[in-house]
Amino acid sequence: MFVAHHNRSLTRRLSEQYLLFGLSGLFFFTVSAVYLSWHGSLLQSIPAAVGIPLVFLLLGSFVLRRTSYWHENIERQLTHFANSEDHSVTELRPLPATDALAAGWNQLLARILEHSAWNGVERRLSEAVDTQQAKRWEAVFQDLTDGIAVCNSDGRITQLNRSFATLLQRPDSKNLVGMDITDLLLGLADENSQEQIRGLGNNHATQVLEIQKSADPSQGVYRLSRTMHTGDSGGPADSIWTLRDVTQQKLAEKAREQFVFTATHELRTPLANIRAYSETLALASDIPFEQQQSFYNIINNEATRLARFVDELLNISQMEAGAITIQKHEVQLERLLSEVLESQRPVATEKKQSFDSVFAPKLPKLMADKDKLAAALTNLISNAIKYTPVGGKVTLRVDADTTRILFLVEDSGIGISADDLPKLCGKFFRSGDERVQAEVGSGLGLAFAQEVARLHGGSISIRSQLNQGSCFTLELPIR
Amino acid sequence: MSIAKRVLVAEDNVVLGDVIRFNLQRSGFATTLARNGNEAIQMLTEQTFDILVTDYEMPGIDGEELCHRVRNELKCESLRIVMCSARGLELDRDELKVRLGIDAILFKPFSIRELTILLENLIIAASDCDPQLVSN
Repeated sequence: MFVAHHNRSLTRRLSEQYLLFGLSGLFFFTVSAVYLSWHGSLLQSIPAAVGIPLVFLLLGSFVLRRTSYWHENIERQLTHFANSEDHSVTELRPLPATDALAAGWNQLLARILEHSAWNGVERRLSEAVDTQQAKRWEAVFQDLTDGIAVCNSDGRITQLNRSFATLLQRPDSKNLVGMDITDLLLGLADENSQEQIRGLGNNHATQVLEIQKSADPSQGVYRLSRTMHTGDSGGPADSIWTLRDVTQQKLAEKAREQFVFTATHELRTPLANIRAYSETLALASDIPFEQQQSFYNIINNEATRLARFVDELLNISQMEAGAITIQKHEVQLERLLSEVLESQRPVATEKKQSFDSVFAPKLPKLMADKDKLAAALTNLISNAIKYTPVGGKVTLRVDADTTRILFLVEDSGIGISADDLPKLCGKFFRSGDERVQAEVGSGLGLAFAQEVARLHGGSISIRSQLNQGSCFTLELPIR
Repeated sequence: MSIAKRVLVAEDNVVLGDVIRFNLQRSGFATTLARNGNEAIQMLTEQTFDILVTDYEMPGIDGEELCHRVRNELKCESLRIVMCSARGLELDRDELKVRLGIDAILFKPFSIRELTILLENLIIAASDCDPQLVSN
């Protein structure tokens, strides 16, 4: 019955049904009244005359209620939804009927529920992602090698990462929160740097300082920067501090500077001699022949020294660029060793040193880069001669077993202090010992020899005792 | 006749010291060679020199220290000093001249001829204000 009307509007359906039942009730009442009064039994039959139309009207009201039942249901749900506090769509219920209205409502509801379910999933996902992201940022913040601290407007630490605490040598990073950052930083600074830190003031521009723990940079040099950060609220500014340990950089810079000085000196010294002697020869025409010859020899020697230094520089710059390569071939070890020894013998003889070599009875075949190996051994031997006083002793010993070959360069020289020993293979390092300073040297030879050893899969080890002598061992694998 | 002008050359580079002495002697300077700062101090206490030619970098007592001692301990105020250095721009020429009372600084590689002329001019300049120096 309802299905039949589903194309017409509710108002129309209601008014049609209302009229239908109302009119039929009125009609039956009038007909019964007329009929009964005609028979003169109106009074006796009043209950029936009223009763029948009343039944019609009751029936009508029932039908009307059925017609509007689902609409009311929807209206009630919507009113409830509108009045509820959380506007939760999950409280809306689908209708059990199968007519178009209910189907429409149910479909709509299904859509809304589906949509809201997706929203929920999305929200939970994004929450999960946000937490993950926050955790990741926190981890990144903690793991940064630069120390970072955030301070409030009073200069007290509110957040800091591990590196910051480590750089301050305070592993108890949690206890640092709330402390005054200036007080903490002053502990890293010598007097000069302390003054700089105090002088930072309230300038809003980013400030960068280099602070030093003491006049000796190896004790620690730090790069400190402060950036003011005013949040969106525009309230008092936080400050963000970063701290970086630049000690190694500083030391490398110093070593490089030192190298430039050394290199300049090393280049100028032979040049000065060459210029002085050639000028002398050019200006004075009356120099005895033998003296002339010795002057020419000196020029030649100095030029050789200059050339050797330039070679060393080239080796080092190749090393710096990682461009040294080795070509391994089978090496005729006896020949190589005798060449190296003979090239150094004149220098040792000049210093009246005993210069010996002891080889194992049968030397193995060795795969190596002949030129690089010869240069490395020459470096070690010439160092031994250089830093061994007149009349001392320099020995090259060569030992081998089935897997490796050892070249031991022993001397009775000035030795190396325990302080200098670990720094010895660093590029440009030269000991502060007066006896070392008195010799010419670039501080590059040993670094080069070590690089050659490394490229062959070998190593250089050093044993030494100050004023007693040293032993440099170059160890190479045979294949 | 005036005696030869006395020059002390403090130079640890043997080869360079030799050629400086060779040239200065030929130009009429009585030249003495010291192989390091200590030797130079020793010679300065024992003998009188008109000019000191010193290297900047020497083992032990270096050129700077040597000049300092010459002026402050040995009180050789009339001694003219010429410094030679293998260092370059890192040395502050004017500051060194004023602080150590150095007359001239030469950078290696310098010209031997220039050095000789410089020393001759120093002698002439010194004799202008102190005729004793060359005439006795």
